[in-house]
Amino acid sequence: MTFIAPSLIGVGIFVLLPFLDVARRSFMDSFGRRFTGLENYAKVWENDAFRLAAGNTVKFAVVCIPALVISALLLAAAVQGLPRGRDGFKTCFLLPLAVPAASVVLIWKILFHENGLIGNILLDLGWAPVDFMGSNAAFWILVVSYLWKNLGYDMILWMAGLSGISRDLYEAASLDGAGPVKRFFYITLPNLAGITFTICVLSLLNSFKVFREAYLVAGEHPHTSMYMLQHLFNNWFTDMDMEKLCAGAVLMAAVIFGLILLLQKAWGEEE
Amino acid sequence: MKRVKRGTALLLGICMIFITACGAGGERGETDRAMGRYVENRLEFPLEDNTPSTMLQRSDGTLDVLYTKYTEDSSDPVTGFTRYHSADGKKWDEETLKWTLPPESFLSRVAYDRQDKAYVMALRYGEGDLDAWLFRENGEGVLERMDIDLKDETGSPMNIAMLGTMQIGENGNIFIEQRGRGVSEYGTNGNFIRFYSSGEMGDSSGFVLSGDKIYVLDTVGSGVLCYSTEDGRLVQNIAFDGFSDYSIIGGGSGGTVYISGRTGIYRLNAGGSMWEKLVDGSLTSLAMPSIYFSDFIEGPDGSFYLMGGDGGNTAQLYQYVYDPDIATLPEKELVVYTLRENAALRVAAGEFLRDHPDTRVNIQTAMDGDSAATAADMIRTLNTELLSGKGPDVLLLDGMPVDSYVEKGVLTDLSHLIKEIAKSEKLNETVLNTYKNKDGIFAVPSRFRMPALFTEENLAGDLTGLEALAALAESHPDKPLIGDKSPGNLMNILFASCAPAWISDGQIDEDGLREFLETVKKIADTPAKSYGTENEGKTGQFSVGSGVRGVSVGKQNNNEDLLHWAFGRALAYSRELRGYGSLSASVLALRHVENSTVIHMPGQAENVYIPCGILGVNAKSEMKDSAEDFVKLLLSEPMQTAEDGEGFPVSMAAQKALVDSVDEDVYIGMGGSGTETENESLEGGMPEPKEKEIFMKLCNSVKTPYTADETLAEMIMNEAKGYFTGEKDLEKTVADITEATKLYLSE
Repeated sequence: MTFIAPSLIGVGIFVLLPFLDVARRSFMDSFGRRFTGLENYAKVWENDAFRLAAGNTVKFAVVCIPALVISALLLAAAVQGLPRGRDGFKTCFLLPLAVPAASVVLIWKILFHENGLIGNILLDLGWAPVDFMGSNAAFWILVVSYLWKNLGYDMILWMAGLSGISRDLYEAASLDGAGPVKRFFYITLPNLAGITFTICVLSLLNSFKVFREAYLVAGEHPHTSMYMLQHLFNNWFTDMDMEKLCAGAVLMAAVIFGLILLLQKAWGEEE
Repeated sequence: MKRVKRGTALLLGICMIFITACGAGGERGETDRAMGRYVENRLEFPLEDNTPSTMLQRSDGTLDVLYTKYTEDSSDPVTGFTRYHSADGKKWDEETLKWTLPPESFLSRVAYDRQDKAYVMALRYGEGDLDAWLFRENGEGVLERMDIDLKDETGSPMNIAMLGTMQIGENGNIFIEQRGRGVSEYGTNGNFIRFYSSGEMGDSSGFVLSGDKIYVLDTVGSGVLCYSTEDGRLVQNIAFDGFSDYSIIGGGSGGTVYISGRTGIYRLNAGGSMWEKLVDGSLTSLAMPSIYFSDFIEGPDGSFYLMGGDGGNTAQLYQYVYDPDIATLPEKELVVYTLRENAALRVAAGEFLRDHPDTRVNIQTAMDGDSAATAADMIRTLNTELLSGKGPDVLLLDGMPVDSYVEKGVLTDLSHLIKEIAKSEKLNETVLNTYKNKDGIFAVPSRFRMPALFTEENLAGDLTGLEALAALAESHPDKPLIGDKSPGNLMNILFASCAPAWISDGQIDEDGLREFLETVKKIADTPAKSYGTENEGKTGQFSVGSGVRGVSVGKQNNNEDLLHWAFGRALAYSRELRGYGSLSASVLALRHVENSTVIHMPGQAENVYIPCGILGVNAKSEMKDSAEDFVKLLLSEPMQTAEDGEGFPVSMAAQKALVDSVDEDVYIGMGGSGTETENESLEGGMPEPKEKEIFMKLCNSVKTPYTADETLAEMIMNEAKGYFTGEKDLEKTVADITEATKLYLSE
């Protein structure tokens, strides 16, 4: 406790206290002068933009997180099993994490703009160019970007988990006649339950960071398919709709917190 | 060991708490109370409505002001010269000079030698060239011609058009500046001695002699080059970082050098390399962008004199005197916030300080050109300040979410202020009430713009709306309605005059939108040729203007379209009118086309105007009274009469003054650069009062404000593109626009 006191105090002052103030403001008017009860929550809940943004955010999480977790696990297992060159592969997969968001955006534009590289390839093939960022394809580009950026990170975490599983268990299973698939399902996966919780939570939190690229490419009002909660909150801030912003933030925090508790119950307690 | 760890952790925690508690402290509105500063006095020159030709200083430090007398004879207007002399800038003694110049020449430069004898440079426009003569005043006060071989540093004849200032050295040598190059020195018999360069990339804009040194101002190199006049050697290169759009260098006693500009007056002591700021420009008229200064002089009592004018026929003598009993900085500070630079605020700040010497106006420009931040970023930063109760006192709300601020109670009610102003000044009530609601008036536009259409009178009468515009275009298959009738340009032109009819209360009326798109397509699809070859057959540029939350109508300086109309290739021409100062080109075209007129842009809304210069006072301001005084100043006639290119004034008296003002002797012209227009041009004098009256009638008949924002306009235009290229039909386009904007409007 003593050891973590400075961090705890810092987090308390810069994160928890402000959040408590946000929660307080969610029951007040924009300037925090007049108590409004649950009016702000009702406004937010009935707001079409919030529903769309929340829906997109949930959809993004539901699509991306399982995809990321599973593909990172398979990749980790594959890389772990390599006799040589493991470090080289780790570095290659971690590189996307080091690329700044602005550079990623530049590449996006070069590739996916209506007059970009892919558009020109389509044109050469006799098809009409596609405005990826102005169509439903924008959502899938966001998914691909998220997977590309975070695959290496999750893979490293999985590899840390994999290295913690005793070799004896695999040897014993091999002697008993278990093949690689059975060893994976009956030894690897159960032993990774604890770290699964951590990886899922981190992946969930990282999924919100994809807003950076989305904002830099498509601005404050992107195509509806990639309109996230952060876009909405950002615009509410510009218009000084603080009461809605606070109510929305509290709702979002409550949902994420609930989700983390569920995950902890599912995997965290089995540790 | 445990105790040490615990103690260390506790100490770190306490430190973090204290760090978060640190802040700027203090109350805004009060500043430090150091005493003493230079105070500005405005003195009158001896003649009103007449700008002196130059201001000089005699060897005893007293002032001379020279006036040139003119006649109506434009071929040889100069008839004589009068000199006024004063010791303090207040009492003047008149003297008629015996100077005569060669026929058809005019006074260019005057300088005194140590015996206060004048040296005069006269110029004359010859055949395709300028002739120059130098004269020296003899003992009887008569000018005698001097032979002088005006050369540049290469030995070639000097470019007379680039002649700058002239001064006479202690030994009688003559120093003449070549603007942009440097200074040439000539002996007493007019022989060329040497050249003092303002540097390889330099741009000299003045020099001063001090003892055996010459200081040349180099604005490009950002400094002053000091040469020895004995051998021409560069002695010192003194850096200076206070340059502004103009800078004047002057000399003082004891070898001091002064530079004055918008940022203030600086002094360099003899032999020194550090500049001392004596006068803060922001606390005086020096910072006012509407005033241009010249002829810096250090008075015998240590005060400074500058001649300042607005470019017209009036000039004033600005005197700066040190007062040890006044606070160095005014006690209070009024913070005025604007997203983008606004000249009217700077002018008002100077005037405000004169009437409120204890209050300094701090103008915060969020986007100053160097910043990479967007307007939205700046607004979010501002919102943070407003929410914490520390925002600016006065806000220029152009480009900001005005409706949101009004709704959230950020702004204070200004109804009482408007009532007070209305007692002494007549204001355009329609524009003033743009943001009026049941609770009051929380935002007040100080200016407005108007989308307008120029066409022939017999056509204008029938143009009652958008359909009539389309009917006109269809009935003339040989000429386009506007020169560039591409859909993009048409959308830009017509958006402001149509959108108010179908965008309101956060909703888009689909029927109105449908009619708008259909009509634009009708006009764009008429058989007549569209000018501007890059747009032929294409949709054109769908662009939205930046700045004010509103659509910039068409291309800002679309003089090509103006020439197409003026020379009969188009039925009409459109322009967003931004004040009486921006009417010159339009009036030239009106004169050229017989029986022509200008009307409000026909559209689905009637007589549309675009409010700008929108002022608001922060409801939580601690300087509310001063803030309201500042707003009142901006709405007053003197401020409204100043032309800043932002829009027409809301003050009726200012409108009348601007309409009645006459700019004689100013000749304007414009020409084309396109394929059809490159040999075409229009020329003439400035608009006359009668010609400006028609614009005043338009100003007085505005009805519908256009207050939709750029984001919405851009969304609509982006979705509409496909309709004009034929990719989608009208219903799909309307559905797509409704879908695309639904999200934005529902936020």
